[in-house]
Amino acid sequence: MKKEFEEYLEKIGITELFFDKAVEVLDFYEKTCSIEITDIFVSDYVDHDGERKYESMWLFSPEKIMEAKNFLNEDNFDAATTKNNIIRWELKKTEYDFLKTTRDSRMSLVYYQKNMLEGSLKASQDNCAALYKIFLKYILSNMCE
Amino acid sequence: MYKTKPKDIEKYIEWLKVNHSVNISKKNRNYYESVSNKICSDFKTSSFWSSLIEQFNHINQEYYLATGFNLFVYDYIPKIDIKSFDSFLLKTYRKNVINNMNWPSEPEGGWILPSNWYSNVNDIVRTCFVVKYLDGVQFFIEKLQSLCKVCNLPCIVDYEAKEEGYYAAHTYIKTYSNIPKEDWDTKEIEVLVELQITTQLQEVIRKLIHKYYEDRRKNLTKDELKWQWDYKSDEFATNYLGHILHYVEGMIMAVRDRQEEM
Repeated sequence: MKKEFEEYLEKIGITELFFDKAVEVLDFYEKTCSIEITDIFVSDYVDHDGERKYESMWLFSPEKIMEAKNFLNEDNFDAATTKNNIIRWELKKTEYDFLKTTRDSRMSLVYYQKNMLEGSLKASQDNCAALYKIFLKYILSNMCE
Repeated sequence: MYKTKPKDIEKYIEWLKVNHSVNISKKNRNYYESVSNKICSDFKTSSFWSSLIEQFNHINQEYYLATGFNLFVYDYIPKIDIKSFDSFLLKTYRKNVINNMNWPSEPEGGWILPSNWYSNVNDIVRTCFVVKYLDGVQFFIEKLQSLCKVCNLPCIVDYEAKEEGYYAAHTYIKTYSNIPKEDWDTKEIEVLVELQITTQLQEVIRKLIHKYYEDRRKNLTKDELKWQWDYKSDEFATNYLGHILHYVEGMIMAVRDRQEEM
């Protein structure tokens, strides 16, 4: 696993056994599907008890976006070609100015493709900055003409 | 010599003095404090406790991967508590007097007196882990048992279910402590450290009824009418609430299991 992936996962609390699950997901796409992953993102939210909950692990390549749904408890993988294929996106945020995150920062991103496929990603706290980076690099840049 | 059971803690202190030449004084309290602090610090530095701290997150994650839920309510290791001297003395009163079926002879296992009471009171040092769901109790106990095995420490598990609606699992870790002697020397004694495991819902009720139980356990007097029939009493409401919550927790598990099957 790339050093920056390790650092990102640790930063958002994906350690020990959770980290092992992330490695399994990454290995599936890289080794089984032979896709070179350039970025990863873990969708998360804070529940009403204040606990951080992790949902899907998202993986990105210049051509594709891949999702391992509920990756801690399921083996449910998909992939879609997104190169110049996104027709709409919707971004919502609270307590986040794209520069600094706080404990209360939240962000959500939904994107839609030409083929009716869509993806929904969530971030809380410091993970908002990672989601914003994904938005610029893989969503905004892949809007179809 | 006292033949009748001392009816409260004051009479018990007198009984200790008259029947066993044990004088409860400030000196006893101070000595208890230094011994209990030593037991606590020995436990905190034990390989068992260090390993548990190290594995805490791992155990939580293991449960999460199996169920999709966090095991613990809090994401930190609970504080280790030391029983107060008054509470400790009260416990010896319950063992020597209130629950002594052989009175006026000694209870099963013998009198609990200063010479042996640090090894006979099993919760001088204790802590409580709060898990979210009922199945988390057994899950965590199995982890504790494995850890005890690795550290070569005997452990006793007691799944408590009292008539009064108290439900919790108590795990007793048998360990050794070098306690100070009154002549400033030290001696090694066997001690039991209590790790309670309870659920989030039971923790709520425990907090509500704690004061009530503390008061009730201080004397011998019994109510004429059984609490099960005295619907106006505090006991009726709180004890049945304990039973109801336990039942509800079982139902929550059944719902959770059904969802997993879907």
